[in-house]
Amino acid sequence: MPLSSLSDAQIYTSTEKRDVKKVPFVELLENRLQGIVSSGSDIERVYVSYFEAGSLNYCCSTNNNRPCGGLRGSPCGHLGALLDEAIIQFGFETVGRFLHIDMTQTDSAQAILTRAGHNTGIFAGEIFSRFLSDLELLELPNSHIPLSAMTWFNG
Amino acid sequence: MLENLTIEPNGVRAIRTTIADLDACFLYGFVGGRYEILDALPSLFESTPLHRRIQDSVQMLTQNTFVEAHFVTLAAARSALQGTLYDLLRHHALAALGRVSSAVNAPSITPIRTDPLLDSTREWLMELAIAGFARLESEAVTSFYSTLAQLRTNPATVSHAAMLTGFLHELLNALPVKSADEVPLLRWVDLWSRAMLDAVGLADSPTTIPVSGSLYPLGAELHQHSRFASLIVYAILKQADTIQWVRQTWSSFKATAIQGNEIWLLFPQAQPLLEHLIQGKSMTLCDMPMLPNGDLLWDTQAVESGKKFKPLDIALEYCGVGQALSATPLPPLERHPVQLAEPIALTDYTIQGNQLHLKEGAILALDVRRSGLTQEELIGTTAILGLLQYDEGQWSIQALLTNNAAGKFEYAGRAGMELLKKPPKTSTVSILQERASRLLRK
Ligand SMILES: [Zn+2]
Repeated sequence: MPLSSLSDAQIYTSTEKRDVKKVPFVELLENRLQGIVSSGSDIERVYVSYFEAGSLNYCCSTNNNRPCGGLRGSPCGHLGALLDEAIIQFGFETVGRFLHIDMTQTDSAQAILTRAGHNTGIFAGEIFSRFLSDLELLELPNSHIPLSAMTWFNG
Repeated sequence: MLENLTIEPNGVRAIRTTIADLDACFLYGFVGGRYEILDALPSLFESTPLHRRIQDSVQMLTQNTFVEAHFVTLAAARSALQGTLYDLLRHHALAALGRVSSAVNAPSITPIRTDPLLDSTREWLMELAIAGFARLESEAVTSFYSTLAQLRTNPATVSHAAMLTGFLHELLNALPVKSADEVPLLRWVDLWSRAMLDAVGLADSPTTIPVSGSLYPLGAELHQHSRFASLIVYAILKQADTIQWVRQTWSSFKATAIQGNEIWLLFPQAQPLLEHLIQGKSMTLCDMPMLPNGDLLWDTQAVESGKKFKPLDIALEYCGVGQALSATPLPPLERHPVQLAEPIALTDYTIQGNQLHLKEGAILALDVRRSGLTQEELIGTTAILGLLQYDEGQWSIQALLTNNAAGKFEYAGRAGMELLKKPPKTSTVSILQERASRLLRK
C-alpha cells in the first residue's frame, strides 16, 4: 500500500495541443468517456457524445436531444474527435485502460474506433450540464490568500 | 551539519506507526469494525486537553454510535499526531540547517462561525469514514456535488472548496476500488482529517502586519488538481533588522481542459512579481499586509520596482546552511509533515542519479513528485535553491532555482512564466472563457 501523503499520479501533459474549440469538454467518468463536441457549422449547436467502457457502445446527439445525423452504423466524426482529444488530455494509456482495451493489440485512436460497438440510442443530456459546471469554474473569483490544504495536490 | 538530517529523530517511528494503525480503521470503515487502536488511543493522549474527548468518542464509536462529533475527534487526534511529527521533524531540520525556529505569537485560530454547508460537509465525510475507502460506492461520493458547488461560490469557503473538489474527484476517479492495496490510505485519511477539521467552522482570518523593505523573489511552484490551481511565489524579505522567508499565493478554479503551461495564464495578477523573478529584480514593499507566518497578501499599491540582484547570491547568503534565516511555523491546525518546506541553498554538490551528493558527505534525494527542476536540468549546475521536504519517511529537495558554471539561471516553471509574460492571442483559457460568457449568460 502506498505510504505517501502526496499523489503519485503524475499529471499528464501532452506534447500535442488540445483543440478546445472543437472539443471544449471531455472526461472519463464512471463507465463512460464522454464530452462535448462543437458543431462545425453552427456556433450555437454542440454535440453530446460518449463511449461506454468495455462494450465501446456509443451515442451522439445534439444538446437539444436530437440524434446526430452522422451516425450511420459506426461512430460519427464527433465521436472520433472526442476520442482524439481525450487521448491528448489524458494520454493513450489512461484512456485505453479506462475503456478496458487490450493495449497489446490496439495502439491508436483509429484502432479503437474499428472496435466500436453499436449505437445505444440513449441520449445523455446530463453531459451538457456537466460541461456547463466545468465552465462555471472559470467564472469564480480568484483568491490571493495562502491555501495550505493545496499542498497535498503536488501535481 | 546537514549529514545529521538523515538520522531519524526519536519518536518519529512510533508516531508514524500509530497513524498507520489509526488509518487502518478507514479502509473497511467503522461498521462492526473492532480496532485495537481505538482502545489504545485514549492512553496516548493522557494529560492532553484531548484526552477526555477521545475517551468518550472511542467508547461511542466502538458501540457503533455514529455521530459526526466523534469523527471530528478522530480527525483532531490524527491531526495532533501529524502536528507532533511536523514539530519534531522541523526542529530536527532546523538544527541540521543551523537555524533557530522563530517564535510566533500568532494566536491560535478558533472556528467561531458554523455554516449549514460545513455541517453537510462533516456529514458527508462521516459517511465516507463509516463506509471505508475500500468499500466506497459512487453514490456516496457524488451525493456531495451540490453542497460542493455552493461551497465554491462563497469566498469564505474557497479553501474548503478547493480541497474538497480535488478530494471528491480523486475518489471518483479511483472507483470502483478493485483491491484494498490500491487505496492511497495515508493520503486519503490525511485529506479526510484536514477537511473534517476545516469543516468545524469558519474562523476570522488572523490580523495582518504591514511590512516594508526589499523583496527578492527567488522561486515559484504550482499546486494543482484537475479543477483548481495555486501559484506560490517564494521570496526573501529584508526589513530593517530581519531577514525572512515569505510567500505569496494566487489561486484559481479552472476548467479541466486547461493544463500544463497554460495554467499560468490563469494568474495575470502575478505577472509583475514573476517578471521581477525572471529578471532578477527586487521589489520595494511599503506597508504590504502580511500574515503572521510569512504569507504576503499582495496589494499592488504597496509595491514598487527595485534594483537588480543576483538570485543565487541572495539565496546562498540567506538560505545557506548555517545562515540565521527566520522561518515561521504554520498555525497549529495546519501542521503536517507534508507542509515542511524549509528553504535551503547549496553549492559544492554533484548530481548522481536522482540524488544530490554534497562534498562533505551528505546525500539528499531530489524530489520527484512535486513541480521542481528535474535531474536533467540540474546536471552541471553549481548552485541550487530548493525546499527541504519530507514524505514517506524520507527527506528530499525540491529544486526551485539553479545556475550553471556560465552563470545562466534556470527557474522551475520558467516556460509557464514566459507564456504568461506574452500571452498568446488565443489559448485554452481564452477560448473557454469566451464560451463560458456566451453559454452561461443566456
Ligand atoms: Zn455526432
